[in-house]
Amino acid sequence: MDRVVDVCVIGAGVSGSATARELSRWKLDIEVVEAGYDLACGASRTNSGIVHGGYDPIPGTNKAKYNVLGAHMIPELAKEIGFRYKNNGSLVVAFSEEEVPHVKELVERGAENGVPGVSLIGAEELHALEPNLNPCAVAALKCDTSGVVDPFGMTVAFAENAATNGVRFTFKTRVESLERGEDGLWRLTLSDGSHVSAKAVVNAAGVHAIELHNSVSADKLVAHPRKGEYELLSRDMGPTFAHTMFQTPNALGKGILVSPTVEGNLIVGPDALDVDDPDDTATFPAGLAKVVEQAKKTWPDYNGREVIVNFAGVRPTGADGDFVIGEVADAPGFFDIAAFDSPGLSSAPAVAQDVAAMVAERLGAEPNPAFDGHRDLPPRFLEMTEEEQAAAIAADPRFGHIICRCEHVSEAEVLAAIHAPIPATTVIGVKRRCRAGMGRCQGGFCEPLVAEILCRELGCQINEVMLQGPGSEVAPYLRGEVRHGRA
Amino acid sequence: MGVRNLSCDVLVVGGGAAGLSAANAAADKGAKVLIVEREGELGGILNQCIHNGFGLHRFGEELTGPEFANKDEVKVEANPSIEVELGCSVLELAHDGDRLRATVSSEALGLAHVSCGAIVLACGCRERTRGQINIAGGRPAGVYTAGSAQKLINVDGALVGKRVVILGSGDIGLIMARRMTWEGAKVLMVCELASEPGGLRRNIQQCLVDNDIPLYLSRTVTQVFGHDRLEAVELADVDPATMRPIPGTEQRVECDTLLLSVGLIPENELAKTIGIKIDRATSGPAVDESLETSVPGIFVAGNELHVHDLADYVSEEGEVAGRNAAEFALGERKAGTADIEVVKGENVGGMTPQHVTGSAEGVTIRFRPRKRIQGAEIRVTSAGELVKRARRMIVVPSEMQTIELSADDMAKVTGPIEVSCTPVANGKKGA
Repeated sequence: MDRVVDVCVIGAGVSGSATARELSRWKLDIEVVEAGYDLACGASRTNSGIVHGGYDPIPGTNKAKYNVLGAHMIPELAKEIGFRYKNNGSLVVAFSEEEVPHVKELVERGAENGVPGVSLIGAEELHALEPNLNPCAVAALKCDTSGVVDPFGMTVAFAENAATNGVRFTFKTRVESLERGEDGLWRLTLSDGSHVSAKAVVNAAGVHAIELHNSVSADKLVAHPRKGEYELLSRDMGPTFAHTMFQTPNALGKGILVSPTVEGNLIVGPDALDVDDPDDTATFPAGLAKVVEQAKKTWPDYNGREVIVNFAGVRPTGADGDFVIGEVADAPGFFDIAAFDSPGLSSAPAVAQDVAAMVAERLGAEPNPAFDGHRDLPPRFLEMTEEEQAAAIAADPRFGHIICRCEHVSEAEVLAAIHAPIPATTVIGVKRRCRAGMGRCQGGFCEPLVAEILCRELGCQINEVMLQGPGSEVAPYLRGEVRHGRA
Repeated sequence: MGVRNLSCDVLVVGGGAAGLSAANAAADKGAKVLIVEREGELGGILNQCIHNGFGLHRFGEELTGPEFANKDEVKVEANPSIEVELGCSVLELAHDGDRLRATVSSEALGLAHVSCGAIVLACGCRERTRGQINIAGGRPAGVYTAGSAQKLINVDGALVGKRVVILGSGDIGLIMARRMTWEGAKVLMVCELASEPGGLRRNIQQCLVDNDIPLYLSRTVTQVFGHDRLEAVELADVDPATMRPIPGTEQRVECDTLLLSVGLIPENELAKTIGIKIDRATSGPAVDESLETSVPGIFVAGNELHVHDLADYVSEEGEVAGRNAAEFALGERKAGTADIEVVKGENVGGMTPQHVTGSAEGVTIRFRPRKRIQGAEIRVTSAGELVKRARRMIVVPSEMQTIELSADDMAKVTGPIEVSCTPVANGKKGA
């Protein structure tokens, strides 16, 4: 169905979702168009989940500006719209005297970028903070303001709050082409054959943002997508390190980070491989082996045990290294959030604020008096006190029915994910929202249970339940006598 | 509404083969028993094991999984001393004065504390996942643990794919090779990392050989391909010395399904909540001959103790744990005073019990041989003296060995007990 809107945001990752929410502060008709089957299908999900302090980007760049601003906004935002954030601090470790000058340089850069709480610490303090660190570490940059977030949860929080404030989200729909008409409206042709006409377009297409930019502008950008591979370890290993542990960048690369995640797992990665296909998120045996090898520099005892999953993400890196933000000079009404690689997650709230303000100004939009910027984090049975658990079950007995035995996720939480403002419609969508299947058994027991619940709630047959995108049926074929989802 | 309080003599966690027989045995001893089962019905994993081959040892007849479970379920349901809570999960175990306390949750009960005199843990086991063996590649649909695929076909009535590669020759993988063949799927092969099959010899014959499904030993899956759905896997030969893939032997096989049957791990997350000591070799709790764990009053049986290959022995263990838990709860148990270590000798892998306290008349030792031996002798010694020996025609890692020590045998024990399983001397074979 063809429609006319004020703003069309392309991409429902963290930058698109955050921008959509900021835009909903104005009286604007907004639609987010997403190629994937769910929120954060690209780089917004498959990253380290780190809120960087802002000492790394070169002063004066967009990265430096937005990282520092964004990192400052995230702790408050986490409370306001409900996502998980932990201020665990980070360390950039020098493993030899030769690396110390570079660490000192980063400390100075931090001061120049206006990052609070950055200091240089010596070996004694360092090893006292992190007893599992390689004993040969000699010094480190310590940043007190950095932290970890659930990147998927952060995107969900932005998007759901946007949806509550009237933003429409369209999934599984790719933008095939777009052009600016003589009437000044952008006309987008979508993969479902429909068209959207918009006064303004926000290009938040992640790994595809540069190709989208190049389709409307004579000022061509060069994409340089790079894959990063990770290993995620069980919660038993989470306490190995308290801080996010970076290695000092050197000529060979930025090194491998080892960090607790906001959920208490331990994450190890990423490497950096140039790729041709920005949607190819497969891992390679050799790459994973190298990640393990390089992580041992930080954590000599790492032996690959307790890995629960490996995954990769593709960074939407641009050739000149900086974010491309703002209205495109020769494409009025077309706003870029392109080349949005690391520290994109940390920067997204600040970029969203700026881009939304630019769009609103261009369109002469009025403030939206009905805007409600608050969203509650969905309650988690596992985190409740016993009294709260008892009360929750009394109010909704389905809190008492544990679906995921590893993470103690109840049926009520699965149902909340399925009936959220932006509903989970797939097994992985449920998993990412409420953690059913995130634990040790990786869904071995609860995946069929979640599939049964989806079946029941969506009113479909068991063979129609998707793991993720179209064509990913959990079990595509019915056996003779099929037991449908419980009525 | 607040937290409810319940009470019983013996709490049995899990209503599968081990839990059902434990409950019956405990009730027969006069204990008031509560079974807590997280699923909506009793039977545990047996409910999805619709193939036959159960019960030959215990009942002298060949039963399907549900039929096997039903034998004990009928007894449980008829016994007024046994209560059952279905759809009920145990969240945590704790000490409660001189009793034990479990925090449980269900739609019917809400949140409740169960005060009990003793506990039998019978939570079964879980499957090793793709992540744990760290197969690289994308994350498409079509990669399942064999047990998950078994539940989908046998319980939910949905088939996961048509062109199947199975990695791992564990019993569930073998059973699923046959099951999917019978559903019309093409099972291309079973690959096994090790140079020995992981499943029972009878399953190799009945599931693979009888269905013309090739088994390739020393071969593994190194990568999966496909974005939304699996398109192919990469196989590679494995060097038996290093157990690592041999570069240059990679081959791509088109398939829409990869089933993993790469090992089972005792489900001991609950045991950890009260600090029960876990044995690295079995991945289950360390126990004495009464199947009592390091926490007095908590007993364990079945696949939570160590992974079995036959449900019959799971039930047998359940009876031992249930009987001893009842005696403990009712104050009738003879406390063991000794602490004799049971040591793994040559060719002995995971073994239970890990120590002997003198709390029972005899001792049942169960272990897995590390390697295949044609014509083997199991020797139990103590302080260098032979306590008992037994011969086996063949021992293989996939088949658990049992050796019983009677009270008379135990009288010969003067120090740590060592168990070994070695080739029969003098070239004599068989027994």
